Amino acid sequence: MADAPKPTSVKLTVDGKPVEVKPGTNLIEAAKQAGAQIPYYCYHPRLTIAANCRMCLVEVSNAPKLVPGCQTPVAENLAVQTRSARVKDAQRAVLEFLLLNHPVDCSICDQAGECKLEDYYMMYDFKPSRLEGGKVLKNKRKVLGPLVVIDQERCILCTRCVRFMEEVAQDRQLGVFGRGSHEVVDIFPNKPLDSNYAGNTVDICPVGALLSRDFRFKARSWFLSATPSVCTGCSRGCNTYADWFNGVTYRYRPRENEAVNKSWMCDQGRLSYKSLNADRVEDARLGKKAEGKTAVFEQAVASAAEKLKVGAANLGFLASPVASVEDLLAGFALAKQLGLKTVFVGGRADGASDKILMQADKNPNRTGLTQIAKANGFEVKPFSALVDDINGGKVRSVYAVGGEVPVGARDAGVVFSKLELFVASATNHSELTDEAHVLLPAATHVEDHGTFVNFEGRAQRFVKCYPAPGNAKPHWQWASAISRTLGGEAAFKTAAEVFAALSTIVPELKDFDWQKAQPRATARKGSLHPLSAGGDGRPAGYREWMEAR
Amino acid sequence: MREKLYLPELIKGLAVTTRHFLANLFRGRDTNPEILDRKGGNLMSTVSYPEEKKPYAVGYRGLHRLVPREDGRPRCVACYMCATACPAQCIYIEAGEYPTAPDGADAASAVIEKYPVKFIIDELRCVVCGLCVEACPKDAIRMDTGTHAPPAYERPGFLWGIDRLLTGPAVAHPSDPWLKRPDSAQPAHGHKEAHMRIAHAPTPVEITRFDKKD
Repeated sequence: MADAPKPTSVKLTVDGKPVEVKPGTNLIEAAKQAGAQIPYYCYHPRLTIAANCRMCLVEVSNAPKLVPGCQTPVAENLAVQTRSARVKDAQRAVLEFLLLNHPVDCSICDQAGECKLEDYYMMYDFKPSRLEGGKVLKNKRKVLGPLVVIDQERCILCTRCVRFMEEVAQDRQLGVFGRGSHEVVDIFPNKPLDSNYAGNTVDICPVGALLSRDFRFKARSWFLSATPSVCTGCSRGCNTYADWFNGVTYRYRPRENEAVNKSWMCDQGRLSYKSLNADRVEDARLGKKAEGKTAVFEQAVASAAEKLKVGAANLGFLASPVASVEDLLAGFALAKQLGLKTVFVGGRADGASDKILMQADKNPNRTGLTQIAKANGFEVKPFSALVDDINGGKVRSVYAVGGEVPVGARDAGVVFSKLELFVASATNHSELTDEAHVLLPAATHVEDHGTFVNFEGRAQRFVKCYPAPGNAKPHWQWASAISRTLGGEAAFKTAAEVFAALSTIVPELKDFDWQKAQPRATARKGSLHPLSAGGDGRPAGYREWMEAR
Repeated sequence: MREKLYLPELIKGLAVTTRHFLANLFRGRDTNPEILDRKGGNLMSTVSYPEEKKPYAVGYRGLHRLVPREDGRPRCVACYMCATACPAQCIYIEAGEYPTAPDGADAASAVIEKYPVKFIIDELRCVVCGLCVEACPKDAIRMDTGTHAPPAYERPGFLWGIDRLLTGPAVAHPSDPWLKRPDSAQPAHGHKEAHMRIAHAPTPVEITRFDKKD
């Protein structure tokens, strides 16, 4: 007898509302599609099901008892009740149990403001504790590894972190030890939690048990604004949220993208936000570091244009694959205008890679650079060729978009000190930028709109979080201003305009809809609305600054 | 017509002024700061500050203070609740972490873990609404000093830091974490507090019973 064809969809009702889902979907996801909310702690769509928090208990028509929604697949004609009296009672009981020994640390805990215990307590429980006597005392701050510290008292043993380390990071560094009220999440003796993916355990911890040692006590989450962005740590281009306040980025968090990074990112990329705040070039400088003096935008552009006109005969153009495609297009337009046929590629040196996310190429936009160079008909040469040409006297002046170089900045500085002219737009000070005759302050990717093309050729938009510090401007703005002064036609005013020009030139990016690809924050952070004004004595109305588009 | 004869009205007014002037000049003056309770013929109601001082009304919100713990350090855990609630945005806090016990911290700080490195109130921006006191979960900021901000000639003189705010008597509370445990590591007794352990003399614990009333 032939098997009956497998059904392609299952019909059920959630709180009386009919919904049609794929077979095998669990009740939490089915309820989401029906617009109902089933609360949960231990469930994570990208991890195996543990069903140990019991927060998602719901009433179903085909079982006498309440069932955990995360672990129960849908069935045909199933009726699910998520807000019946029995379910509400169970939710309240579960929360009372989970909060029984939970210390009320909200004022100290870094998770305050984005904690699911807080949220669900207000939504489903709202009852005082009936515990008599003392709570169970466990380790309050145990350092697990370089990035993670645990507060075992706050832990509700949902085991998300343990499952993550085993299934995604593929490195069993965490375990659950003890029994009953002595049960704790911990590391194995003398084996620190030093995986490159340890930071994700902080993100998926629904309560304040696992905290980032890097972010801890730096900022309260309700002051931070989250803007969708892209990690610049390697050529993977993990989708992130940049959490920022008042012109400072405080942390990166992974943003879900099934095709690129699922829900994860590596610690190396997670900590790469630090370069956004460290030792930034904030003002244009004319002359080398020793005798240089500050200049305004017009002065710097005029000076750079004048000098480049003189030095165009033996000019080398250095492009950094850390800059966005908009920056590179404007830079290449200028290079073309100056009559160049070759570009040299700088950027960060290669590093470690792994089989999960991390790529050996530590530059976010090498593919984009190659595409634009090819479309413009440039010959691409490595940085070592530029060093040879400078040492050989073939190149006596250099225009650089981005100050990142694959050799040490000190070594590069020694070579570049031989130049007669060095014009650089750079984001951070280094030994290399000290040698620039004209130094132009550049904006980073969180300070402007733009696009990176990752190693798979996927163009990814990022959006502006806050204005650049000091007088910094995006690379493309400097390049197009110099180009305009020299009589060029490519005088771009916005990043969108640059991209419009780009999509006509670069065949790979022809179908990329710049406006449409703009990421938007899909999920609200925690349950708190962002404040309309800052709360710690800094200027009001400044923190939600966003360029009107 | 009558208004046009302004002279009688003028004399009437002058009479009032003269009466007040003579009364204040020759009749005795009661210096009771409660103006409504003053007896005597003197009608002068001005308080000659600072010789005479009016007592503040009950519930007057005085200048803020940061409440110290028994060891003199602030009870504040830099949670930013006051700064968040402050409508005038006059509170600026920077949080810090006490070192963990193996790093050489003393026991009390090893339990507290977070403290304010900076706690600054701009007294000129403060609107004395008291929301910071309401918001504080640790009873670490109070407005019970009964004084107001003393004058200063420069604006920076009104930026009060921890050194000036941390005054007054220390306050203890049964829920203070340092009363429960010696440091942040897991106690040897596992999960029982002192009064729950058999080896220790029982500590009287007040238990609320929810018996039905007759």
